Amino acid sequence: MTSETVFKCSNCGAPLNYTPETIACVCEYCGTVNWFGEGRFEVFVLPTRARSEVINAFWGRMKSDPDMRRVYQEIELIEVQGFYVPILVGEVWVRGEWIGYKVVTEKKGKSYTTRTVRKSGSFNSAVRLAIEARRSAAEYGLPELVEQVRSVQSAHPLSSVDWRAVKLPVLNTEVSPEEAVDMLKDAAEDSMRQSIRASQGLDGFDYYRCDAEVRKYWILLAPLWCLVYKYRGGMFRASISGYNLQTLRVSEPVFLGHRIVYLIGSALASIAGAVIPALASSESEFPIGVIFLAAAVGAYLSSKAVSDVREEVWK
Amino acid sequence: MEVGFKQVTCPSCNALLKAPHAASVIVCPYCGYTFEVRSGRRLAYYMFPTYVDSPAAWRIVMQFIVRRYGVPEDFMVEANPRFSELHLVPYYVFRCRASSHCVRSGRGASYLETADYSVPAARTGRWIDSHLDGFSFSVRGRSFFDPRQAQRGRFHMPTVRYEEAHRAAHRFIEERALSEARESCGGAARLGSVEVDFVGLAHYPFWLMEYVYRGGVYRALLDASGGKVLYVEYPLRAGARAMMLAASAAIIGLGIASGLAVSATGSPLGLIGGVTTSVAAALPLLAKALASKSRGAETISRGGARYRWVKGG
Ligand SMILES: [Zn+2]
Ligand SMILES: [Zn+2]
Repeated sequence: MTSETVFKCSNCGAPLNYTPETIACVCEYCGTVNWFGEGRFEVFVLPTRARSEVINAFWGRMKSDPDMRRVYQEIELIEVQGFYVPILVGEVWVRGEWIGYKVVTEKKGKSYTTRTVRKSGSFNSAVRLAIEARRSAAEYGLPELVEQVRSVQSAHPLSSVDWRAVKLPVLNTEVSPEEAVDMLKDAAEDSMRQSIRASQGLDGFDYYRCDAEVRKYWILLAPLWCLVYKYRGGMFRASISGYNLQTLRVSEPVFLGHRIVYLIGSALASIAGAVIPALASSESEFPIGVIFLAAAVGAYLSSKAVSDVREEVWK
Repeated sequence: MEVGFKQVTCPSCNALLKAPHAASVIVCPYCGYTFEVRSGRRLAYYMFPTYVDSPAAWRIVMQFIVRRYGVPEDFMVEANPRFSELHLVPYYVFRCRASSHCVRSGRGASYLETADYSVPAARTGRWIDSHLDGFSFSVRGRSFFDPRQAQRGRFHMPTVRYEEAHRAAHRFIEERALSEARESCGGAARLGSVEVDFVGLAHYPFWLMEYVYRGGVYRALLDASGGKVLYVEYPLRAGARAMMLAASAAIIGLGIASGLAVSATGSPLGLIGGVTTSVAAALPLLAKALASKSRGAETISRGGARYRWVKGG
């Protein structure tokens, strides 16, 4: 296929931004889904707020931020770009069982001993998952958008959006329904394992089985707005969810005050690294862990002291 | 004809093409027809448009550097572009799926792993090569072949054989599936079915740049489609170096001093802890202060699977 090949919307005849990977292409003029390939998805949309509202939300965020408020006058917004990103959302029924272990260190008399504690359990429940439906895609704020979309209950049919008024590029869906089922199963297995490991405080598994059954899945088009702003000649990014105007992620300059605080923190960590093990050696704690932790905190804080941005992330 | 090149006729538009001898796949720069040299087999092809032109690329890189810590005050005035070149690098893109099994004390479990794998299909022969592996594409813009895009920069023909890339994708997904089984189960893990589907060959644009600051040459690499800064080198002002050295000396001094103070009360662990912790804490500062050039890159994380409990448990 050459550049001469033009795909047209089956409903209104407008040109489509079709690419070879495309499975579903939503017409940016009339909102019709054009399919390329075998299967079909249900497609929903989270309508976007207007560009001017997104810009207002950005300024509102900057004015209310304790650090940025002071330099608000020096900020210059240089780029505002929005697009609808396809996100695969699925409801997956998971059932399975697990046997995990945890290594515990205890002090007995003068010496330390370690022993392995085993725990087991089973699960049988439904989980909801969200995954971006584009290949090998990275974008500022995208992981946060995916996370937010997962918990959004209201989705609207494509016809509820006035496509002629919206004028936002709609990125094509690049996963087929068949692939979607596999992706959701894989994600369900991984996320169950992670959540059991974290909630039970396990160090590892002896056995973990998870049977995942994909009950329902659909594509949700979610509006992502990417902004670039300038402060004292430096470039910073922000991304805002067009659905509810929440700031998904924003990078901010590190001011001198922050750097000093980080350096003091790093110095305090080195003092703690000396004092706590000495005090703790009379208690039942194992001091190597404390030294390691203090060293990690100290190194983290001193690297923050000479970093260029602070990232604030939606949770 | 240059040494190392051969002439090939495009089977689609009959254009006479100049291709490296090592070329494994040829993309006709006039019509986009993509075929394997040995078999003549046609491959799916797409490209990422270059949205960032040369002046914009400089602007982005300079604005990225200026926000970094310790950049000289006169940087914007004294830094001058020396060289910039657009490289269109081909990637093989695969969709992979593998299952693995594990049995432990008579109980069996299966795991499924799905992932995309993209691997550079050519080497540019420049320093940028090491940055091109494991690269995540911009979520935006993909398009069909466009000759105007292809002719904007150095259009690299694939030299890595398709089979080789396919094998690498196989190894990648097999390793992922097996490591998932090992992580889940203490028993013997074995591989189940493995599928590797070829999605297509894609050219991705990168700006390779060099600039001069007070006689020193510094490099930068930019994603020319998504505008991400992938790598920069920049000078550090003497004051910032001195500040970081002083701060690291102060941190180590404090660690040793408090270690000695605590040790005086009887425990030698205090001194060990103080020295270890303070050296580790000062290390990031020392590394930056002592490097001849500072380095940086913009981090933009990939989206991933997210989950939430709906009911039950
Ligand atoms: Zn239409
Ligand atoms: Zn041709």
